[in-house]
Amino acid sequence: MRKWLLAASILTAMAGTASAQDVTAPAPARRLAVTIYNSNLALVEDARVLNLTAGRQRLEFKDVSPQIRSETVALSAPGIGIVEQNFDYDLLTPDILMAKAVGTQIRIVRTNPGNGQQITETATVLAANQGVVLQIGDRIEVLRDDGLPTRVIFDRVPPNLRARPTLSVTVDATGAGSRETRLSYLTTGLGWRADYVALFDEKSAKMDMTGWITLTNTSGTSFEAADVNLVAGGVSQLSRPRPTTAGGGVRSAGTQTGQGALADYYIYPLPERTTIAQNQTKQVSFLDVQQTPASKVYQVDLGSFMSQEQPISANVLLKFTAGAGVSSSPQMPAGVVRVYVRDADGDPKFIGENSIPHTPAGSDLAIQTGQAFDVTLQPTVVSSERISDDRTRYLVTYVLRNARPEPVSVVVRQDGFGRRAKILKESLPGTSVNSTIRGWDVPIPANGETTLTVSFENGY
Amino acid sequence: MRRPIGLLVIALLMASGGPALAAGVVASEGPEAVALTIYPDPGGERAGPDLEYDDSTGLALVTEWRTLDVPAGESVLTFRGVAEGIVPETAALDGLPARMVERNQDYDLLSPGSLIAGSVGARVKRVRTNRQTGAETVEDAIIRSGPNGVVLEVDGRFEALGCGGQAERLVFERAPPGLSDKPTLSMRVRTQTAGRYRVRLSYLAVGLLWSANYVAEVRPDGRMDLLGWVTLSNLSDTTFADAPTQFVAGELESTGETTATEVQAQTVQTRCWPSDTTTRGQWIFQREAVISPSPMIDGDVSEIVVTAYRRSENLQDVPTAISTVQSELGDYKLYTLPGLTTVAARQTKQVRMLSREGVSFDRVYRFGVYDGETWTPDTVEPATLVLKTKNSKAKGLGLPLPGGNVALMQTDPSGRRILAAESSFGNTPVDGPLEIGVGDAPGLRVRPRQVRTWVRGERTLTEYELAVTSTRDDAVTLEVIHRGDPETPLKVVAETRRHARAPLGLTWSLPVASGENLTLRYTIETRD
Repeated sequence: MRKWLLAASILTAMAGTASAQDVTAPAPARRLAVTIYNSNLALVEDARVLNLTAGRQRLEFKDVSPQIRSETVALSAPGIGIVEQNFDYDLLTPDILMAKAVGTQIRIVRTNPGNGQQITETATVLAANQGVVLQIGDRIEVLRDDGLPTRVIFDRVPPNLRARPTLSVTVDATGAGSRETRLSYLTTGLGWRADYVALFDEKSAKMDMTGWITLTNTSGTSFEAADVNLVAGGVSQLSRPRPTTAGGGVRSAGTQTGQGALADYYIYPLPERTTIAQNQTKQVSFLDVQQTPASKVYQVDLGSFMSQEQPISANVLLKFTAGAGVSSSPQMPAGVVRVYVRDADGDPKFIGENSIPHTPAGSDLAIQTGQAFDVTLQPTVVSSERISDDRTRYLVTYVLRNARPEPVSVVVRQDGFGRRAKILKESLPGTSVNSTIRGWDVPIPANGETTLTVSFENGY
Repeated sequence: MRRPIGLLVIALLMASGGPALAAGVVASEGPEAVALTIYPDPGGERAGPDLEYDDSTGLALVTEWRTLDVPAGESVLTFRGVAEGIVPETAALDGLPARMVERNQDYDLLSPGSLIAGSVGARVKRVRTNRQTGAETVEDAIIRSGPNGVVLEVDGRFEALGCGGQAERLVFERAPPGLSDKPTLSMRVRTQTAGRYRVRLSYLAVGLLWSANYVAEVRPDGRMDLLGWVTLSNLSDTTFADAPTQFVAGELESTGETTATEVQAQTVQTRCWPSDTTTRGQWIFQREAVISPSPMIDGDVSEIVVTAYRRSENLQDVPTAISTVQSELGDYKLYTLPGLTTVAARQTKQVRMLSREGVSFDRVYRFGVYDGETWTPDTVEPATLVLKTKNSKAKGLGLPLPGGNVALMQTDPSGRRILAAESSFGNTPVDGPLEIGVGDAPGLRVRPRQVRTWVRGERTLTEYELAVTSTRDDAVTLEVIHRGDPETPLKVVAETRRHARAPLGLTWSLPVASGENLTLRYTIETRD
């Protein structure tokens, strides 16, 4: 042990010109701030008070994230200059230990298989390629050529071999004394998204919604008692993050254009410090609204004119307005909305889920939860007839069935109308949804069916 | 067989965390009661004993009741004994008047690898055993590196673990803090008043799924008996004892993000130095590593699954007389098993869902032609048979039918029960059309021919001829269906029988008497 320390200090003395000294950063008075982005990226700011000596010295940070993006490391403190920073990931393993021992002496201890006696010899490692070739006195042998148990004892470990990847920064300090240093870096392995729970009551057309921020940490390290900020927005905007600036740097990044850039960023600070442990999924509530208006819609979208032998189930959509009834941060960060309804006993039951993008407040959302068992549509192209070179006359029927004990209304949207389409007759008034889609609201009586008949000429 | 419930308040063992995190731990060892609502697999997998557990197959809503003694102030509630397939972000707790600070799932698992990783720098004992004398040598050691190649410091010198071929092992004084045997769900809450609370914990979980299966028995009188089964599979290693169990029939929207945590325990690797010798092959390499590289957890699991499934097939419940009760859930159908059911780990279970006797149906014989189709000369193809009915009371049905596979059974004249066909149908509401495809119709064959095709101006005309031969001993109606692209209008300009337009296409209905031969000819006009 002592020998190793001696060797280590000699090495550092050779590396540094002034009286270099190793300072291992201790833990006390540490303040961690973690800013987590949507897509597996986080900015870690690690502030702590270090007692520095004047002149050149090396600071080691052993507790940084193993998934650190080392090119983003920045260390700042009053009165220091950065000489160099290194991220060493030459790990201490038996094979590397042997490779580094080439040319040096080791000891081998062989066990006699007959009587169990142990013989210790000193050997010089000549090579460690495929097998280990040793010089023992004036003999050359291969390690464990006879397959018998042989211990290998190394006198020292090279100083740059470590148990885990280590960040080291060599600094030049103007004076001795303790001062606050701030280390910041980007790391992968941390991410977050939103999870929403919507409890929908069809009778009252109201919904309760809770929102959770879900953090995941698979970075390889824990972040203890950290201030956590979450940024809603894509990483594409963050082509050149400036890790040395705190929180506000994110907003400035928001002004940079990128694919799908959003007009504004939203930052969600967690209300209190928390420990994000390694291999942990953490959830913190950020949204809780009661009795906000919501409604259920049946809808069928038809991409082209077609005849269907089997009825098509209507899609069930839940419609609501993002941020209704919320005063603070009413926008909805991207995530999964899971919808529940109460069963006959009053217990909430899951009825489907869908993803939403980052949604500004006031946006109207219609998320599909599933398909109706009892509400179907069966389209039939009854006739189609060429009436001129570029015009076709169609008669299309849509049979809509409702096996529910109450009347329902279905939004039918038919795509495929051309530029020169002309409606001749329709059994229910339709409206143009856009240039190619026509829509009808079709009421169906309880346990009944409605046939929508449309005749039209189509031309492109 | 209910789990024993252990409730205890212990001090927070984890060394992590400052004063803000110091909170009492309230550990709940398992649920007192559990209820299951099982969904069809979002990915469309069908329940059965050949499925294996993974982090995304199956979906169920698990509801548990637990009793907690919660002190006033801040505490961490840990919930053990939750389902293996829990989707942690869906967990919800009701019945505790407390403010939820955060909820966590920790899955840093105790394994040989994490034991070493968490003990780097710690003092351990290395015990070597002399294989000849049996004598043990115990030395103090410090783990300098690991678990990807363990290097020990012994008496100021350095040695590898498991590279020398001797019998050696490590003895640890304690396990590193914060490691658990299984992923652990916990919630940090603040309560005003201490008390005993009965809480409801509910969450979505993967690993459970169901599907519908039908046996349709065609009777000699031409009617059909339909028997529907719920096939329920529990792929996970969690047993749900005495659980009220429900099934949801319908198509739920899914995002693919409702998945269980994929847990990988840290493994140990022996990164020993190169081991080639001049004598390779002359002796059997006997590396007696104290900790051998442990296989990936996936490998382990699949092995268990395979053997357990073999067992579960034998245990597969014999269908019993109990039947499910159907109710509504939003736009889906909810089926409730009467009483309580134990859904054992890695088990496939079948329960009767519905049965209807004497369902009347029509046999529809079809032959399909696609517009423009040509055939090799003298091709003879069988017509197909479809059993067609309406899901109505008048036909002997009139109840929601969750889509599933159908085994169509038939009794032949000698009284033998045979499988006529396997087919399937989709979710069918009341009064909706129900069709079960049987496949080739016996004794009804068609020789199709495209006779000629010619151009008249911008119009293309094509003449088809279908020669029908019946060797059946009954009279049937054959539907010849000519279909094409709906965007390309088809016009019949000549025909030997009158056609009709149906959803499937242009349709000719041909009554075919027993042993009759007849021919249908028609000409179709299209315009480009």
